Amino acid sequence: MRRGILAKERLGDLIRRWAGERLVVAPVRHDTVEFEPVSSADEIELGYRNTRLPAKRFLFRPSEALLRFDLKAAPERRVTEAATESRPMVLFAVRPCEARSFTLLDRVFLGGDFPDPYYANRRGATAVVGLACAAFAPTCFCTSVGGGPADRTGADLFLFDVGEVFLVDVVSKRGEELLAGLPLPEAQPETVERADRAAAQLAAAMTVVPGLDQIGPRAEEVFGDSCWQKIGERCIACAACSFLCPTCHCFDIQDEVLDQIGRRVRNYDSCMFPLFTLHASGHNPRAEKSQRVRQRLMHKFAYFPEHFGAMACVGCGRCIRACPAANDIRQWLRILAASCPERT
Amino acid sequence: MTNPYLPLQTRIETIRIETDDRSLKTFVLRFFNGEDAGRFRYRPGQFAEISLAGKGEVPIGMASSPTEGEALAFTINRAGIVTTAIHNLRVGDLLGVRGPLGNGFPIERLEGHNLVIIGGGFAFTTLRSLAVYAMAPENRGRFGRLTVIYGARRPGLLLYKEELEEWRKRGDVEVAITVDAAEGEWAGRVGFVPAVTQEVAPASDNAVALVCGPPIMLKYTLPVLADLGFSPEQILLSLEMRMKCGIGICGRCNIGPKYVCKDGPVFSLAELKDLPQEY
Repeated sequence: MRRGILAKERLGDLIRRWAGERLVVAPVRHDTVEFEPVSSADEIELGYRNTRLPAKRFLFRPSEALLRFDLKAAPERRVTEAATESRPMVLFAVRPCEARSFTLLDRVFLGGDFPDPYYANRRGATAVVGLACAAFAPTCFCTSVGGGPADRTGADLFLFDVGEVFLVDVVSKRGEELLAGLPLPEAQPETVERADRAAAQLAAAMTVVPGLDQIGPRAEEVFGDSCWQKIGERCIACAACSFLCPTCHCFDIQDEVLDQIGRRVRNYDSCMFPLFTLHASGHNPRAEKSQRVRQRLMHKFAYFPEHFGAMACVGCGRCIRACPAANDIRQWLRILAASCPERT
Repeated sequence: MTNPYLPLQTRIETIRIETDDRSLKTFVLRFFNGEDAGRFRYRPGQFAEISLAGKGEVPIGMASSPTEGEALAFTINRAGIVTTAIHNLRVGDLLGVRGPLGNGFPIERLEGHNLVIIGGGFAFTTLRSLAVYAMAPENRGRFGRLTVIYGARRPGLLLYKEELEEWRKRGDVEVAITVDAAEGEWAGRVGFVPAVTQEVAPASDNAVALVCGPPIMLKYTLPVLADLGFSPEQILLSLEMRMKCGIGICGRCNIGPKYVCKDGPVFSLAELKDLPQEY
């Protein structure tokens, strides 16, 4: 791994050059900070803690056509593939939790027997520039789920903001290509030490939810825990948590047709809704809210680890900030991890 | 990269109304493109996403057997928007097929064993596929004794009636057809599937039971099989679940860590005992 210094005044050139040949998506401040396409470095907000919407939506679209229909056409042209997007893209200044989420989504969309071409094309054309955290929000808990303020997982380039310069780690070959031969002067040992120390201090100061990796091995016990009823009562099944989660990947598929022209489209969906599992017969295996909350948490902390060897949570805290019922997943996880008798 | 969401085009060759209430019809489909027919290799117990452009997709078990040639058959219950629209189609209309999906019955594991096929209601469709497969001349020798126990609520709701009659005449398969309640000229058995299973009493030695039916039938049939000496490993079930993608991505058909679409729909009772009771 190459490591060096990038002067901050060089950032403008770099963004301009990238924007000339690809879509550059970076955090921009309005009322909230959100990832948006940008054309210059001036638009970018680097002092943010977490965006409201996850960067996931640039790889896995909230709504996306899979097929096109022309019901008037000859049989062989009636149903065709929707074009997949593969325009080169840079996701710039992504926090470590989100960069990590891309590697989790990769396992779902690319890791099976049937790779998803829509995700694959976008992902294959995307380079990720991570940015180490300089502060954490009260809702952050990345260190409890395997991440950290300087976790490079999922990043191609990784930046530390160390005052007048960026300390740059070239994590992957794609990151090297992104620099296109740009020289990175060697960092002073003090600079490196300052960056590493800041990240370590930040990580040490974060609140830890212990034992989350033990939920998987105790899955049967946790599933049968008596706490789910109480937890379920506090959920209003609005699914804000799922829609804002960087790792939630469930979707629905629907057909839309008007005047014989239409499309088959997939939309974000959530296991929090009773319709998600409702059979045509009327039977519903997860009719109760408590069963659905359990499904969401078990999927993230037991089933996903069983399939892919990692928890499907990056500790970004979006679900905590967005919950209209003021639920805190960390509190639920503490209860589950501890399996203590008097809880909630 | 092949697109797993793109259906293969088929044309409806035959539509057979199976039940007197017209709620179940069998659609025989022929691939539009001859190459698709060659590539579509399936085994009994698998399913496909059947789609009607503009209406949507539904996961349906395959009722045909690969031994029957290139045409595919699906027996479809009219239940919701898509299946109702499919029921209104005519011969010559187009349907999309994505598949084959799911694990299907473990033919290699069944080989050399006696097969006890137990079905109730319209869940019999994929069992029909297996029965036809096992009775095909090229396959009959690969399996031991064949027993088929099949029940419906009343005679008018029995699927594949003519075929069942043919099976009965064969002599190399024991066929027990039953109805919960007789009507009209029904001269056959009357009784619930669990009771008939007890009567027929198939031996569990070197046998595998393949059971599909409504939950109430399973609830009372599984203990009968246990009494007959079938171990949880010797009992295979095929499950239904609401599905969308059919390839383990969209996240809705799971039972605990297993996806019914890709890890199933066929599970042994032993496997199901390790999963949460959420189906």
